[in-house]
Amino acid sequence: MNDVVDAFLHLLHDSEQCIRNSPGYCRSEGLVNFLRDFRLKRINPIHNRLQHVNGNRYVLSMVGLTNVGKSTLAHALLGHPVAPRRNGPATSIPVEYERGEVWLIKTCLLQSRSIQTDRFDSPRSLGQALERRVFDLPGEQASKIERLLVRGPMELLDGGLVFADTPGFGAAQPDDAQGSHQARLSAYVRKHIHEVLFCVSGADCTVKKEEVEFFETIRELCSTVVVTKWDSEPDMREREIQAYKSKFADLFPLCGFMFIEAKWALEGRANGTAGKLEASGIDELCALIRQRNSIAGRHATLRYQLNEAWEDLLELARDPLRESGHAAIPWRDDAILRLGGAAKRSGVSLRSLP
Amino acid sequence: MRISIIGPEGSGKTVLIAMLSRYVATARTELVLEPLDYLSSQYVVDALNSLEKGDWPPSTREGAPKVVKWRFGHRAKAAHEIELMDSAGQDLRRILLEDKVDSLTADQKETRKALDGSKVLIYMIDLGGFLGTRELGVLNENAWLLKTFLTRKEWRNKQRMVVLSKAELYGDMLATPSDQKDEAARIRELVKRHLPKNYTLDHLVDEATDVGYHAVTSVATKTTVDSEGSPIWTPRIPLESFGMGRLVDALVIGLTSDFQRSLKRVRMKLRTVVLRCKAKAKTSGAKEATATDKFVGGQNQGHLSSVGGARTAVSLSALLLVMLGSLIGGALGVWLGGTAGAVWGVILGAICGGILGGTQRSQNSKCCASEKKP
Repeated sequence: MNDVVDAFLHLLHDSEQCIRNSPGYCRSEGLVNFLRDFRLKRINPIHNRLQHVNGNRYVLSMVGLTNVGKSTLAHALLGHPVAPRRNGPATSIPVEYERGEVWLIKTCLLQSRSIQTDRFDSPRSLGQALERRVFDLPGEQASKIERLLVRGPMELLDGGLVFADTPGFGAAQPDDAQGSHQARLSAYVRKHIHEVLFCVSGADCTVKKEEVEFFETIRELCSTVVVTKWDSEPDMREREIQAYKSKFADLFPLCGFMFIEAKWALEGRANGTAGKLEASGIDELCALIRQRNSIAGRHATLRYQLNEAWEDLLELARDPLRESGHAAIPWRDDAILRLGGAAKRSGVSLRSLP
Repeated sequence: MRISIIGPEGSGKTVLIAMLSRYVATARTELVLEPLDYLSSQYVVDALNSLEKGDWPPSTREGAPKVVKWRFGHRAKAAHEIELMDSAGQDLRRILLEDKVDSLTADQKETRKALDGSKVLIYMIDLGGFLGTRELGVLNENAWLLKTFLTRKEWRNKQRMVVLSKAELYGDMLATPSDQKDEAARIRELVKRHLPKNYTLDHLVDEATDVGYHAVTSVATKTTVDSEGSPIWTPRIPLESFGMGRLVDALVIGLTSDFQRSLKRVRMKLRTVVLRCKAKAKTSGAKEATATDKFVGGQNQGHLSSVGGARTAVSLSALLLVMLGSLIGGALGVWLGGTAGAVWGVILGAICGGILGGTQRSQNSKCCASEKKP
């Protein structure tokens, strides 16, 4: 997979350079700019993601405004009451969930570079202790903690995936300078997170300006927008989903959408009502998480994104080609052969590859 | 005995030298390739340090050709003294392309003299210098450098090699289906296919039949993205190279057995005569060629009606070999055993020449047969 992405990246870059150096370049400036823009916005992010998908540790995180329902969603996904929930401001400590044999919390301390480990008998007692650390610690003490690692027998994380629940952005924080909470959160996401599920509330069918602004800062990492608190009736669901997407999809380019009511999932599991569970939409998110649990699954996602990028490239190139007077993109010979060879070896099928 | 490595900037000379040193030290322990002075050892150490950090060594500075002295050869007996001359691309242009010797600096004159005095010359090509640019100045320069390497009369008696560097980047091109089974011939075909067409370089490549062709990956690479988001090839750690074994074997063969090399040179010259006859026959047969003749990627796709001319050339070369064999056999016979010895010498020489000629003929018959197909 690495070879295909590398070859695609070089194909765009090297062909740009080739066209730039050829006689009559001024006519093709639009085409060169298009290739460059496409490379930076579509292929570079795939290349960046690829650096992490082969690793043993892959961190998938929920990010969203305070009170959009991230922790309820985490509870519904993980199947245990280990996600701290409370309305109102929380301290800015991210929580990472990993599979382990016993229930424990590891507190990573910044200054001393040490880890404090606490074991628990049950997920409930762990959840209560976690809540105290996330909500009740004074700001100064909380700032000394880099993150909290929660380990326990959580089936969803069987393959080694790390699932992170981040503090909500946008709410006023106690003992905190304005904006620094958001900056710390953004820094944590960029440093530790490999893929983001961006959570927005579907309760009032609006998207706030600050949500869009924060999304832009971590755009390359976002693969999916999870619309929470989506409680539309089954017969209205599809129509309302389409209406929502047509209204807001352009604010979140290149992201898939999922619509979930986490409370229905919790009720469905508690009462054994399969209908409620199905209507919640949680199964789709569980399937995504299971796919991310393995390297093969992550590669499959990247393969799909790469294919989509290639198709979009062929389509979007029509106007720049027409303006520059080229019938087809003048690819550099060795670069296009390299992409073809790499695609064939990796089993990636790219339509109309010369 | 001097080996010189030359090539345009960015063709990979410094990396090749550094990795060759490491390769021989770790994988070919029957050989020795060790620096003869501190400067030479530091040169390699500095290059390897850069590579181990994932960086490329800096280009050789203009006006400061590196002369790296090594001892090379089989460990068991006295080895050759080798001077590896690594010139900067800019120096090389002046040294090779400047007609007026007086306009060269003292260093450049000395470098030209040293290159003329080398026994083995290696020319490095990065095909990217031909493919990757449509900038006419760069294309022109690279083409003239290669042309000079192939045609410079002072170098025709030397052992010459063209080494295609960064071979992993062209693996898919090398794997393109070809009639050539021999790897050296495939590399030669690849080089020809991507040379600029208006420099007669493909004919020169064909005519310089004594020039060996090799493909190496001195250091395997990976893609990283620079601060502007542009992809760049950087050394992959741990450092890995490919094709070094064959290159080292070719160097070992080249540095040993002058007699074998001389014999090979005679055969190569005869092949050159054959090829020239073929080329002439093609020219005379061109009038009969069909209207569908066209070049696709440097290969003539048209129908050739020159088979008759080629066969005449083959018969001529076989006859020449028989005569040569007879002369050598006769001379040896006289030297060894008088008149009787001379007679036997002539007979044996004729037989050997006939065998060589027959081998030549069967090889060329296959070529003729394949050329017949449109």
